[in-house]
Amino acid sequence: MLLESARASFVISKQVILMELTLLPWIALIAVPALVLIVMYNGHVSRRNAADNAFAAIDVQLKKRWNLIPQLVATAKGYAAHEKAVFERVTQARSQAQGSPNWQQRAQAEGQISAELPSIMALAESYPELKADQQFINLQRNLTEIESQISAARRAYNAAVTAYNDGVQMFPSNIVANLFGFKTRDLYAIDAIEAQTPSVH
Amino acid sequence: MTISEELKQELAPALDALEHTRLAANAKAKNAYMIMVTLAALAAGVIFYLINGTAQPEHFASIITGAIALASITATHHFMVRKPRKQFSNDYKFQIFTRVVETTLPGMRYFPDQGIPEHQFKNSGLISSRVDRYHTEDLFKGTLGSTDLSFAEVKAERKETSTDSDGKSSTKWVTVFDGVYLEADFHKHFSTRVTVLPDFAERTFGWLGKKLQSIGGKTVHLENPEFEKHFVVKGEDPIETRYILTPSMQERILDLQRKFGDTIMLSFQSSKLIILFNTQKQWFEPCHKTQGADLSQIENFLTDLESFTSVVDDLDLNTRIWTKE
Repeated sequence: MLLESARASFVISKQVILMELTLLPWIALIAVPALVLIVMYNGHVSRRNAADNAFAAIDVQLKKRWNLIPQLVATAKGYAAHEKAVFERVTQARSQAQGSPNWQQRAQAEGQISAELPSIMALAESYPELKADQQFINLQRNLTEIESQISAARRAYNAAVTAYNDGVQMFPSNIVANLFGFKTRDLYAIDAIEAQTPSVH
Repeated sequence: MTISEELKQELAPALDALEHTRLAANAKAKNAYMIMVTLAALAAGVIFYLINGTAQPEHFASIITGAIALASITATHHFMVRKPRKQFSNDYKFQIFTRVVETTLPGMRYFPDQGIPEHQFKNSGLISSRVDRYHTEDLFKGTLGSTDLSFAEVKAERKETSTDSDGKSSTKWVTVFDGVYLEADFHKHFSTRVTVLPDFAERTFGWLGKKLQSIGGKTVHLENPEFEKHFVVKGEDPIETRYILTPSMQERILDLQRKFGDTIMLSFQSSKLIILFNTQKQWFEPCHKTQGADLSQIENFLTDLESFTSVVDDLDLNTRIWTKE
């Protein structure tokens, strides 16, 4: 009796194992692609977040630059009041950047600020008193600092976007990207800010 | 850097006195070598007799004789060769090199018997190995332009004990670092740590090596392919890493690498720059073979010195246009 029951349970466990072995390839067929899909999806999300973070860092530095402009204009005006046109152009570009409804317009206005700021710095060459003003020197140093930070943040953003775009475009991760709507992003063109920055004497 | 006529005249009496010290040290060394050869020959003769000339080979006595001979030769070498030459070297450094530094680089001072503290060396974050024996000397300290600078020779070793199949253990000293530790005030403020190390993985395994590096985390890949080929950059904050390692700084580091070879490692921390030059070479040492009147001794010293002081210009550390003055 005992022997028969043991034999029956052995037969049942053998059947269970056989059934599991038959199912195993099917389980693997579903689980492995699901796992790959999860890994690829998470990779896209993580790279997109890294790009967003880098972009936020650019924004922080650009806003720091906005805050510096009024002080810079006020200090330079004290010595070079009749260089009105330069100050107006920078102030206007700043207002445009602050009030831009979208990034395209803002980028244009920020580009205008980048192009005009060296003109204010160049005034120091024509006005020796301005060049010697301690506050102007400090502002110049701060501006150089911010421009370097913007440059670093832009490079970090471009590196993050390149990694993200690689993931979106390369096979097989592009399949997952198309499936979930991950789109490539444009790089932030780096201008030679560090080269333009005048030196502080 | 050149030696002025005034300095040559000023140093002439000291150089004359040192020439006597050098000749005396060399004469002593010559005698020492004769004593050592005689001791070795005597010991060999006695050992030969103890093994072949007696009724039964006296192995124990042979070992004792060998040990006594070895100890005597080592002692002779230490007291009659090494010590006098070290004395000459120290005198030369204190009397000549310190004055040369004071005159040619007024902002810098030379301390031949001082160095970089061990904890400072370890805190660089560039040496991952354990350090069991540490030696440092030839400290240069001061300011060049706006940059505070200090550098010294450092030798760090690790003790390795291994046991063979017979259970016999043997100890050997492995050189962890042998070269110059340089620390300079960096021209920008920053709060995180960035390390720049030679990139053997990418150069050996290419794309795969690059991927493997990234697994370790905190690897920052920069835009300059040449720089990426030679160095691996680790940084806690990718933006601050790029703030420090601007495209121009990457080029300057590459130039430094071309000058010193694959021996350089850099660490940026607490607004300071640390460079380890793992050159495996003795720097700032006067040669006991060079005659006292021969100024090439001083010229070689100045060349060594310039190799490291020029780092300030090579990396443009005196440009102070950022908020750090």
